[in-house]
Amino acid sequence: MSTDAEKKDPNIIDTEPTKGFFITMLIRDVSLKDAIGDLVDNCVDGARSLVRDDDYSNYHIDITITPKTFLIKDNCGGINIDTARDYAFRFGRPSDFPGIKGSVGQFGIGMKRALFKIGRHFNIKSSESTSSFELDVDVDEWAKQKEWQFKLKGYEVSNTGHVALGTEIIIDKLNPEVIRDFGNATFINELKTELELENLYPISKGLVIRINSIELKRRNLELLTSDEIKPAYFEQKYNDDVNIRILAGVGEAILEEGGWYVFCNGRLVLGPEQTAITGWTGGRDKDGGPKYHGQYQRFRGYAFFEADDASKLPWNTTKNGVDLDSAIFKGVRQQMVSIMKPINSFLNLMKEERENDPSPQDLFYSNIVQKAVSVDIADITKTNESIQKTTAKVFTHPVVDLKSEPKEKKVSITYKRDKDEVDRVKRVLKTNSTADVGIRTFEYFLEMEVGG
Amino acid sequence: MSFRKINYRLRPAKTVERKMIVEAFRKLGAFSPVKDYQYVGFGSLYFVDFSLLHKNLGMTSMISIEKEQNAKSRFEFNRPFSCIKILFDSASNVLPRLNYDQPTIIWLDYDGKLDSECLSDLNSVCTKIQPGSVLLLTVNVQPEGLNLDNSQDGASPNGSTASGRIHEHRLKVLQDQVSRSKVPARITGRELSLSGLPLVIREIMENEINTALENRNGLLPGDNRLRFQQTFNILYNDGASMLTYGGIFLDKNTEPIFSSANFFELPFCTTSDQPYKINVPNLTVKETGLIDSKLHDLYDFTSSAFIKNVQDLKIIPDGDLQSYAQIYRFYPTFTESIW
Repeated sequence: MSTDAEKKDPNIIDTEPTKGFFITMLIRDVSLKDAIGDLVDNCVDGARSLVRDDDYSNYHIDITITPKTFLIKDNCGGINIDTARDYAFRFGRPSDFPGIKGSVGQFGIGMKRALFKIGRHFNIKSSESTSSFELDVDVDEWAKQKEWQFKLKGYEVSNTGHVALGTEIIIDKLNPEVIRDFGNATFINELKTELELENLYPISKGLVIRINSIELKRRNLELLTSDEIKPAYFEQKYNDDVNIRILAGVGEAILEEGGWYVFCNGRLVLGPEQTAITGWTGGRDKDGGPKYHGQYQRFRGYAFFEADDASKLPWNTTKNGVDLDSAIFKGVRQQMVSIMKPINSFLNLMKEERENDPSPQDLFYSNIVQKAVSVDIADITKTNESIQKTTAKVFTHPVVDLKSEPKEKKVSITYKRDKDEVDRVKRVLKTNSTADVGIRTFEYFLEMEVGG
Repeated sequence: MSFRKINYRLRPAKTVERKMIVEAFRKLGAFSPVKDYQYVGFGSLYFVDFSLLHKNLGMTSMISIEKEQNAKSRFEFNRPFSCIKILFDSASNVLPRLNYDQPTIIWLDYDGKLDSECLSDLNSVCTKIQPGSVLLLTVNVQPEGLNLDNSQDGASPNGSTASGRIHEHRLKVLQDQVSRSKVPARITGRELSLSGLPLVIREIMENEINTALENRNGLLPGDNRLRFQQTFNILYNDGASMLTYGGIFLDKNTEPIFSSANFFELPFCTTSDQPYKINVPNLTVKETGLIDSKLHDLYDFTSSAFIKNVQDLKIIPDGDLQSYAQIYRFYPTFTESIW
């Protein structure tokens, strides 16, 4: 026993984390793509604090990925030196953090986790209108130190203002599994698709994101509308600080794209979601609708959560899912389930129609869908008038009016029995007709055992 | 379909129940004029509840849900008033589409057992219904018997007793109908008897409503949060044991209105998990006339007991007298009439 230990208060149990453990745990629950998504979120938040009238067209984010290094560079305003010192690199948000209105970042974990996930060495340069700094961290060296601190390589404070306002992060000494992914073309493609979806909103407003010089495409969220088909629209304010909007209806028949899309402050956190989380529960004992499959591929639902204070939103820290236990998501999910029921019964009608009557002019529901026009949901929700004109509280569609009623349904029964047996029954029934035997024995059973 | 099997007009206990419920609905006037309530039900071919509500309470906004689509014109023909709208679809398709903005009474008068589809219907209603609105459910609560094919000559595979087998069977059937997760954990099958099953079914319906409201309340500010106030828990039997469970949705504003309406002065309105039982004794017109003429001298309505010597009525069994006294205002008389 050392003398130090003897001096310690015997009532104290040491719970201080080791940095090694901290880093390992931190990066375990985040996928590489989500980690990169987190770094992009920080850039988008920077732009969000600067844009006027929702116009992102002056801002760009460039990502360069090679098997040796990862680089992300933006012109989205940079990080203020005081923010860097007091908040940006803290693990977790101090309670006095002022925050960015309507931001995507909120937990104070995303950037650090992403840096550790990707590599063992990172360099950050950032310039903002009144300050600039450079931070260079070797993660292994840092892990050996007892102090929970990063040391700036240099900084500058001036009132003249810098020209290039933005942040550049270079990460190298990549982790082994990261090297493999970064050398894989499929990974880059998947990353591109994921970032396109996640940042669909700012991209649609002009933000440019490039991966290895290839610009991410603008993805449109569309719904079919017409005088006959009206998507469902639901809007509610929650606790005065979260605005909830749901828009759902039918879209193109694409199996991979059907389902729900859930956004928090414009960032896609779920979708296309086709599981119990958004009500595709299947099974009689569940609270939702059917399981997602081919006949529902035209289903499109969009749920938007907006809040100035991002911590009020029901998302998880990796922003690839929702907090299923939150009261707000439970309530919204119930509304989503209710909204999707009429849409799914419409899609069931379409399916029945396809199976029953193949002549094209009689495909009543399919023809209605064919005639409808695909409209960007941003255009639908642009003004109250367009919401009024194109949507309804409940998904609306015309119903085919079957004037002629189906004929009484009759089926035939055929079976073979030994002639001896049938003859014995014939004698009891006093009949010569075999058909009569079939009919009268059936009638007897119906009367005696079934009733009616 | 049941409309071919049962003539809904000739069910005495059901008739009594309907009249009682109409009487209770009069109290809804405390919330808003009763005639302005929207009524949603299953009218079948006879529309008995629709006629009763229209004639007694003046309701004109009425929707009958009819899943039988093969006899559309027959249903249309039998519609007694043109203010009744028939929607030909299943309840599970209609309920999420309904407009719940106006005060609404929904009576889901199923003929069958409670099943997952009924529970899902409850959910649809609870997602949208407004305070001051009413939801009623009627389901069959006749306990399951043992299927004869499964009990060959009383021989039991693992020495289980006949009663053990029936408990097991009843539990399994209930789990199949409403799903395992909805059956309260303490239920073993022993409780699913003639007297026990209505309590369990009521509990399952109540749980489903409360869960749906809890989800919905998550989005609502405190004053707008809804609670379901049970007012009906009625058991009757016209050949099979049937349970009608129902109540009113209340928020902070409507709570005092509900209290002032004083539903529970009506003996058939109850908050208890023990159902109010309707017994309709078989009495002749002469007999009911006799009891009616003496009732107010011999019977104490607050304690529901005969207080004086009922010598004059001794030709009528005591039990029948008691039952009749409780429902005499609603006692139906059926006669054949030639039209």
